[in-house]
Amino acid sequence: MKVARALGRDEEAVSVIVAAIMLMAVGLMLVGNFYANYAPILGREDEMVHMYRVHNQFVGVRNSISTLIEAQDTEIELLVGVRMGTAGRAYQGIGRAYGYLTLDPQRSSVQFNASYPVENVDATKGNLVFESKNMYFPNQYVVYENGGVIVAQRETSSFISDPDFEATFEGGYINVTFSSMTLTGDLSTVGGSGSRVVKMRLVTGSTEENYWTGNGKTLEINITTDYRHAWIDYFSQTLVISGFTQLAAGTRPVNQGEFSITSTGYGLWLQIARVNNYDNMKGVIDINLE
Amino acid sequence: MRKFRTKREDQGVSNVVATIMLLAIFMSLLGMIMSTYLPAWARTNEATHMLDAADSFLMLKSNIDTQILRSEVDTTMTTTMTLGARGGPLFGVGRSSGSLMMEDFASNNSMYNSTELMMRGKGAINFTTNNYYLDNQRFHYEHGGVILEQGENSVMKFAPNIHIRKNNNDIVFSATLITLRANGVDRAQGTSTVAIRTTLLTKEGMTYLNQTVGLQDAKLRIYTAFTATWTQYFTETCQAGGLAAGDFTVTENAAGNWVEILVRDCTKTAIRQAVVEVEFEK
Repeated sequence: MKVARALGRDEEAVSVIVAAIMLMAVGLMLVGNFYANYAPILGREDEMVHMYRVHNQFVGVRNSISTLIEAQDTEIELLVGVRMGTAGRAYQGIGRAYGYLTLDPQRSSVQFNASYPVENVDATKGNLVFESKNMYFPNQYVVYENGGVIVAQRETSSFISDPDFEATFEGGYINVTFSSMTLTGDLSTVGGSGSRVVKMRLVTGSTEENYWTGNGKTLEINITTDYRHAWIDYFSQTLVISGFTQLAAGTRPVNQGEFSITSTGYGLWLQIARVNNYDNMKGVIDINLE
Repeated sequence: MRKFRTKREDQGVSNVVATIMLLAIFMSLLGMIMSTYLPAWARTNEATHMLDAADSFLMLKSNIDTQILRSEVDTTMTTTMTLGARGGPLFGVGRSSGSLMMEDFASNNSMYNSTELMMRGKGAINFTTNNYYLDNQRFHYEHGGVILEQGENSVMKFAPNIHIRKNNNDIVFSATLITLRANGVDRAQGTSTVAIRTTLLTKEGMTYLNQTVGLQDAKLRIYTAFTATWTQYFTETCQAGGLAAGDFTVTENAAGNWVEILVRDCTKTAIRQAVVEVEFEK
């Protein structure tokens, strides 16, 4: 109080200083507001666009593998680039997102059985996974396995590009077709925020046709996967749209047109009753990440 | 002469001083932005553009390979390519530009066995940047591969479909020779996005199972401006394919305009030849 009294009242000159301080305060508030609100929106937008790009690039991987199998050509290698992250905007305080791309030739298997009597038809395995490390947008896994591309975010997953699976009634017969891929190569992971290249080459490709007369057989498809929600939803929707009747999980289908899907600790188990014709296009693709 | 005297005044100047000080602060902030912040911004834009250009060339290569693999003659695929970086008039951040050019008669290649010419290809697509902040880069698609050149150095960014492998003493040499033929617009400059339309015109393939002693050698000669890059690529491909030093020879000519790889005693030589029409659409 004594100090205040000593300074005394002065009505001259201070208004300009106050105005300058106020102007600087307004400026700082604007800058603070930009970094607190606008920059995260920009960052989220960049990361969202990047994730769409990765989705498209994985669909490109899927299409390239399908092309290799259809062409049955082991001498041409197809390349697809995968952008691992965003460029960031350092000048706006927005960091770079990055990611990891992993080829795991032992992950995610598919096994077919035609039961009664049990008969192992085939097994394939391997998947390619992109794991994002975003700063603003929710992290996602983008996965290629068994001919389809899955996007997993938090607890859910769904297909953005369906596998080649079809089940139809034709003249009282049930026909099922499925393309399954084995991805070979070294277990490898590449990371960063630039572009990486997925090199794909066909090792072998063939179509196996199975035909069972009379009441056919119950076709069992065991899928080991980390993304069972996507597979369960996909099989359920595809088969119901095709006119099949879904039974409760764990129920064995007996009559023509029935199927059931059972979730297991490792993935899922699809059973379709009285299948007469099962065509399985198989491909073994050598993958190399650079 | 009347002497000019300034009047003593205790009031009023503080406003002027404060305004000048504020202007000084503003000018120093603007100067800092112009000298530090904007170059970082522009450099990031150009770096992103370089990554995009590499992706576009990878997509171009992949599309042409896919067309050859599918053998769908007269079908067209489109690859988009943005010639310049993002930028804008704000504070004078200029957009870097680029030049895209189709070279019909560049980069010839020829495949021979021991006695005769088997197949050949030619043509290249060239993209050169005109950056303000980063070093300029040049992307060059030739013989099915993409070469990236920066300064004095160049690397095989995306390898062509030339495979040489040795399994149990059997050497397999397979190559896809691509001829690029310009149709209509064959060059583009500026900052805009250009569509590169590629159409497969013809494709043929031959497989030689070389049984005759003395007729088992395969030789591929490539005319290029990047002889060192191709020499390194061929050498690494042969070594990675399991060939011994005596199984192959890579030669550069003295003039430095071609590279030749000779692979001895090939059990199988598989060659494809494709003609692809290229058109730029602005």
